Amino acid sequence: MNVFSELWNSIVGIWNTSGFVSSNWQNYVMIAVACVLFYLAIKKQFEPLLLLPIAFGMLMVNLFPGIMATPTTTLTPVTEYMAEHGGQTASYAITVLNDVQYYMVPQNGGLFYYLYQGVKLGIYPPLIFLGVGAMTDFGPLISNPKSFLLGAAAQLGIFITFIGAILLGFSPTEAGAIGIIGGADGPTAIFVTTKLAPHLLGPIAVAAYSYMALVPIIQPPIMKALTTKKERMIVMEQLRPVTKLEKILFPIIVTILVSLLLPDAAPLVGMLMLGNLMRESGVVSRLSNTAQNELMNIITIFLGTTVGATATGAVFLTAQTLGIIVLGLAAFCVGTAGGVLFAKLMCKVSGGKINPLIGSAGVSAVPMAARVSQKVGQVENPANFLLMHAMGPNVAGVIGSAVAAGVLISILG
Amino acid sequence: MENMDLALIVLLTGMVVVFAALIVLTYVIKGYGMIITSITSGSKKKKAEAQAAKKAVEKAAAKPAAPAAPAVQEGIPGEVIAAIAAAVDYTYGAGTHTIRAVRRVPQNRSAWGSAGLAESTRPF
Repeated sequence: MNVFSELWNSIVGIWNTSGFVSSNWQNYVMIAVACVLFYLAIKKQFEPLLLLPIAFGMLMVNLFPGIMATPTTTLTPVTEYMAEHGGQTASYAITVLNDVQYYMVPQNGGLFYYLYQGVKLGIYPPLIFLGVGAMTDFGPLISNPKSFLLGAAAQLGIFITFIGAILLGFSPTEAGAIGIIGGADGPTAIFVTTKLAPHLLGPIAVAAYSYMALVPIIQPPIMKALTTKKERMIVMEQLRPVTKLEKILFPIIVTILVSLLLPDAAPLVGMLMLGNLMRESGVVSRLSNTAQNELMNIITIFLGTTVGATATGAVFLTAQTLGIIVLGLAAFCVGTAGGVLFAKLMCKVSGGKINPLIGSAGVSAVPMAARVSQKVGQVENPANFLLMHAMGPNVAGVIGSAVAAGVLISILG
Repeated sequence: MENMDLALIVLLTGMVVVFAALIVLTYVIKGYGMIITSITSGSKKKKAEAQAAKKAVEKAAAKPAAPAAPAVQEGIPGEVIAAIAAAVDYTYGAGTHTIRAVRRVPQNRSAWGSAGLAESTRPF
């Protein structure tokens, strides 16, 4: 009889510690959101490299919140501890409270808590930039430096959204972190948010990566609305070939200039350019390969899962998150419009030599935004190849959003 | 109201600094691109002139005998010889090296094994 009662107690104990009892409706909603992200990543293949780990992190933390638990210290009276351990002492630190000696017994945190430190301390985003730099060919930008202007114009979304967020009642630091979603650059958004508003990291990161994944849906209507058919059909002149020396000097010059001008942008721009120098110098191919493959993949797994794990139901399902999602979309749209309108201006000034569609690529989101320019251009003129022309503003957008991040951190940080 | 003032300051400062930084980069990149292009085109011109002079001298000299065909070990197909010749040409420059013989090197390790060994023992 006693055995049955023990068995029953064990089953009740297991049931009470299970997710069925500890989870609330918010966790179940977030599990459903994670499943939608799985669908977008796997079936629709929208940025699967990031959406899949983010969705899995989201799923895990809502099933087992302890995976993100912070390490704690429990106080156990020394006498009690010794009684439980057959009179043996331990090497834990001792503290005295009310003349009673306590062992400070450390309790480990959850797995994701430790992996998350790379996000919290701002380590992963620059490392991702190292890999991005090693994978990026800045040739189109070097051969057409005017592309830099489109990369600057597309940052308009960041600063306009900043004003929108202030109007909606967010604090200046929170508004800065929300505005950076318009940079369409995940690592930059995370870097700025960890510095300005770490408590908003979950919603901002999820919004930034989700919108980056949705670039092919968000951008084309804006591009078409702001350009005429004639403008979209413009065929641009072929880019001049770029020498190896130019490609090698580029990362060194950009690092020196940007770091001197805006030291807050140095970790992002510096690592981006280090990766690019490793690629272009041709003398450290092993390091370049590691940066763009193994290192990048490892950091992407850690970053994606732990960012997803910040999206617990209680944090994510608030009116504030809804505001962030709406503002993030506005940031993307204004950034795209800024780039296209500035490209239209350049088109007029250059006498119709620039296709305004390449302006939208200035929002970063490499290389997706450039592919969108190519695709929209080819709808009007199948013989038009805008991809390489759009890659210039696209990579300029990466530098531009890093500079904008430096401005926000320097003013608001 | 105070926050709105800050918002306008951030908007103006942000756009001015981002544009200023990228305009500076535009001109710097343009400038050094022009310098490098002019240097390389100058040296290319000199090289072309020197090559033309060399060709003229070579033409004047007696035409040397054509290099003998490389000694090819039995069993190596023509496509492999062509690929090796193309690789040598590409790596060292056209016409600078002559292939005298092509023969198989006895190998104890598989090709994949050798590639793995080379990858993990090549110095930085």
